[in-house]
Amino acid sequence: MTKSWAARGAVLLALCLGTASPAAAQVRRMTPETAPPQIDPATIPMPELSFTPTPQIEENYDKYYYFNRAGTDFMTAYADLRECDGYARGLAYRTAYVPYYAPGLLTSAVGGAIGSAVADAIFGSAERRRQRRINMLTCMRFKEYRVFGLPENLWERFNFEEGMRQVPEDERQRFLRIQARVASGPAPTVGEVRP
Amino acid sequence: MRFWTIFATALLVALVQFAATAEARNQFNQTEAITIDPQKAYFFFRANDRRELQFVREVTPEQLATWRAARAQALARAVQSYELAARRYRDEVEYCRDRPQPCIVLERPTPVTDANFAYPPPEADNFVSVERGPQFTRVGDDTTYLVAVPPGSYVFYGPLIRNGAQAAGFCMCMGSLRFTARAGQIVDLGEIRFPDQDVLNARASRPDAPRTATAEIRPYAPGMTRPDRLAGLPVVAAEWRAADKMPNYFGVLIDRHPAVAGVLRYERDRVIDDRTGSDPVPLAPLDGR
Repeated sequence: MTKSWAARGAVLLALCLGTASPAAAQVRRMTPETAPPQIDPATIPMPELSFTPTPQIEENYDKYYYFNRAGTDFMTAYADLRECDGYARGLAYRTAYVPYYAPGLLTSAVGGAIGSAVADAIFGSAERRRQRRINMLTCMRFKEYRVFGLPENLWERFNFEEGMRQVPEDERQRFLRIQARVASGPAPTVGEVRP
Repeated sequence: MRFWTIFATALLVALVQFAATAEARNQFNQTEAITIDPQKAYFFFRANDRRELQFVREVTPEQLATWRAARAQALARAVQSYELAARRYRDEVEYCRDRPQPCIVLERPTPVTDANFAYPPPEADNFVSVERGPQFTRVGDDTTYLVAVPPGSYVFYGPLIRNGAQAAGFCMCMGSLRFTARAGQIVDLGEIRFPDQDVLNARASRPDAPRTATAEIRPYAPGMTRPDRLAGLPVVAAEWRAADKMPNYFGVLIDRHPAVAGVLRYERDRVIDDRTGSDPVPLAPLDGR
């Protein structure tokens, strides 16, 4: 067994043995969110999306991708991306798209904070970034968006990764609005990533 | 060195938490006699593997009333704290008016209102864990579980292990199933099927992995047998309904329960109660207040 897997086992053991913690101590505070304002998509610049695929670029499509769905208006795409972003960062809208969400409970209780520190020491920022990618894709695929790969240098102009550091809300929303512009824009012709 | 520090810390956390949270288990083992407590409800289900599961109970009107009162009190305290902080901030701004900058060290506090007040949701205390063990019966990987729980309407939250605020696994955050567990009855959920570990590993590590369900409930059917120890006890088959989207309370990977004919279906990501064709009933009032 490698050290990495042994350490993962130890964390798993910590999680398994402590499952009877009182629920009342487990919950982090919630922050309700206001509904997004109406936005004219014409005010949002369309980023550069054209490129010629190469094997090297295609290799990283699982990291650098964007969404598009035919017949989708900007505000719908923005709402969808906000909802999926909520799930991806350990928040989530409640039901029926009401903008009310509960943060993930990663650092609330004392035990949780210790556990978080241990988990973060092992899995680190890279694991959190990967989890975000997986949740965004899962959520947007359920919404039947198509997924298209991009070279990293084009992707980073309107996307963000989130590991240990939380992306400031203003910056996050600015990126999500551009992503919504792309998601509701013309259908791309290259780089589709099939499920 | 780093490895051993991590390993030792994880073990220490495990042991401390295990000692601190030792409480009566509600999960029956393979030898316990079953006495039905008329104040409690019971889940029974079969599983093709041993995995920890989470269920969450619907918020009752009484619980909601208590929660509203507690929230109102907490809000009043938070508003008072904000007003105190705002006064200190104003005083500091006044003090620094004619002094060289930087002088102001306090951050301008954010007003606390009913709309932006941060508070746990009413269902936060309603989680029920079914752990890997003890099992009610076990033959190889095929196991059954019997668990005593508070009566109520439950939603299958997903296959995830949880330790206080820590969790790992998948939540059925984008659609699930619910059922009612009545006092004095054992409700038979049917069988919970899990995919192979390879599938779960892929879903947990590769963004492009196929969206194979991470858990699937197969409602009770007459072909499913029950252990002899349940003979003569009040066992009823679960009546399944669709459950709407839920928050990712623990910040885990997300999934949804596969469609179940006549119970649960989806229009894209919209959850549909297939009995009525409408949206499912939420776990708690939508605005939580």
